[in-house]
Amino acid sequence: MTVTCDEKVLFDVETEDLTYGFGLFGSDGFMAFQMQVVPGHRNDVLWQFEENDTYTIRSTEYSGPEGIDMIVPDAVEVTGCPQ
Amino acid sequence: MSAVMTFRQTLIDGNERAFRPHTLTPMQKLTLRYVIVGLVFYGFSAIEGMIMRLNAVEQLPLITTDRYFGILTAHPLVGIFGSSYMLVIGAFSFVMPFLMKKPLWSFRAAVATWWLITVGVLVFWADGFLTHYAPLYTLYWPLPADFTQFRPLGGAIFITGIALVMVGTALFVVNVFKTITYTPRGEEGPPAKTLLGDALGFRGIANLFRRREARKDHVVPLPIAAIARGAVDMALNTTVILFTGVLILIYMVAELFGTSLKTTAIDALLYKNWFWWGLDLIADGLVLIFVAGTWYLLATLITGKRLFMENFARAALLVEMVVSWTVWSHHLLSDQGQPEILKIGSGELVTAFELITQGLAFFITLATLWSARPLKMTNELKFLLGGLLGFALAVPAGIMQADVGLNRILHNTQWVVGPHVHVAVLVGLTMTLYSAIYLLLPILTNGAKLWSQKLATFHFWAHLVGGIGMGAFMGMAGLQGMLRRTIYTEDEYLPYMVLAAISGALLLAALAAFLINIVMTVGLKGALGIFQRSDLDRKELVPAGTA
Repeated sequence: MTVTCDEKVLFDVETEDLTYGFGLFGSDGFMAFQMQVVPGHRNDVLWQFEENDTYTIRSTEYSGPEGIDMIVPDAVEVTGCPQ
Repeated sequence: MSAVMTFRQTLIDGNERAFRPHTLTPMQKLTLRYVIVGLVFYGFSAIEGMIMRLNAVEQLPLITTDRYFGILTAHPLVGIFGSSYMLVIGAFSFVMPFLMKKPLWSFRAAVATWWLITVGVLVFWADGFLTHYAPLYTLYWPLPADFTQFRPLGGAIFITGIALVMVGTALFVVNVFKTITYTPRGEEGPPAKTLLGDALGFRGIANLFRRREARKDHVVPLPIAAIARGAVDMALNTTVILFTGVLILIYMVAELFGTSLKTTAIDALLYKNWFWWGLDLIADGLVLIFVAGTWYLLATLITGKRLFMENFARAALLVEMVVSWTVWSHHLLSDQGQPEILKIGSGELVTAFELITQGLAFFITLATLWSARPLKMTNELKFLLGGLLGFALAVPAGIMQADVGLNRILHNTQWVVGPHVHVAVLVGLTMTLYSAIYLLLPILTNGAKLWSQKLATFHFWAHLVGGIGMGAFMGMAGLQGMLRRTIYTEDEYLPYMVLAAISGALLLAALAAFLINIVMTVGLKGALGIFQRSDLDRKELVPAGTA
């Protein structure tokens, strides 16, 4: 997904089984933001990025041993921010 | 050769043969049993922690993913229930009769609590070791009932172990309030209602509305008031944890009998609020209240002076209890479904109030110590100052993460578990408990002499530097995005993990030094003698003539 710097992005995440986390991490490993993802509830956050980077999405909540690989590398690319 | 013999003799008979277990009363022996089991479980927890620290540096072949999370689930539960609860309950069971000048209401209940917690912890620890049941202590619904990842039988045994611990703590709570309120047969004392009212703070509140000359004196010592108010939180969290355990057990038993109950029948967010409300009564309730009460007791025993601003201290303990009922929402700041009013009100504002209540306890304790200067830097004083420093670091670290903005990048990172949790538990709480152990050791052992002051000094510095160091390096990694409940395989935060592991090793070395010192002090024969029956009167706290 590519996003330009002046855009606001609504991340709306659903889970049908367990509680997870939803966090975006920059290429240097720093976390940009996160939220909990709880079954049966709306989990959304409106976000505006401030730095050009490529972000990895990772579950920030433990959901059992099988959940530790919930990582989508380089899922969001942000461009157009003033350098 | 003679030096070796001396060492051996000391190892067997204790330092200068000063410890004679047959002189101990049943209450002294029971308290020492609480201390021994508390220290053994602290050892379990410390070794588990070290395994995880090493695994963060380099993945250990024996530590599979399932086993790692089994350890991560057991580690805090063994540490809190097996170690901290045992040490606190043991110490308070001795201190209450000491301060109230009457025997514990029920010696048998105190023995039963010891058994229930010891067996309960062993059950859930062994179950976690064998079955790798690993929903972590937070038990976020429906993970504890996720039978695609965990076996229901393993889970049922694990939860039963936790339930045994909770029954044991419930018995302790009953013993606390009965001991405060009862009057021994043949003696005269204030009515139970008066004692209970003062212990819980009602007399203090009523005094606020009385003229100075009409104010009533307190009938319950301040540390007892702290024990009573912490015990209220203990009763509430025990109820919540027991209820939650029964709920989870219903799902497990149904699964074992071939019926899969719908996990969607329970609202995950409502459950999270309920469970955190109960669980937080430990971290932000009884721990802070018990610690404040222990600081006050230690400060007055070390200085021999009255507590500075005693009435403020009583009032702060009451505020602390009420605050502890309303702060749980700081654990749900990143939950989008959580109402904003709860995030701001409970999560941020009320939580920040802990800076005032804990800050007051910190100030009052330091001012009491200051008023008695110059003081000799004894082991108990050193460790008390270490405990104060631990909370002075850990409470502000917690308040920082209880900010809606900062929580977006701190929640579930190593920051939470490093500078906040581990510094609070290892440096703040544990050093306070070590202070109590060093202070009570001669009283509990009828004059056993500490074997090595050098080892005690090493114990202090290694524990302090190791505890703060480990918390700090974990915190630095957390600030750079390292999560707390996952496994990293690409050496992402390696320099911090190496430094945290070195700090962890220092903590283990501190424990080893302490245990060697204690074993050499009481001797192996003495240690065994603690577990032999005492023929003295159960109602005597210390042998007649030594009080």
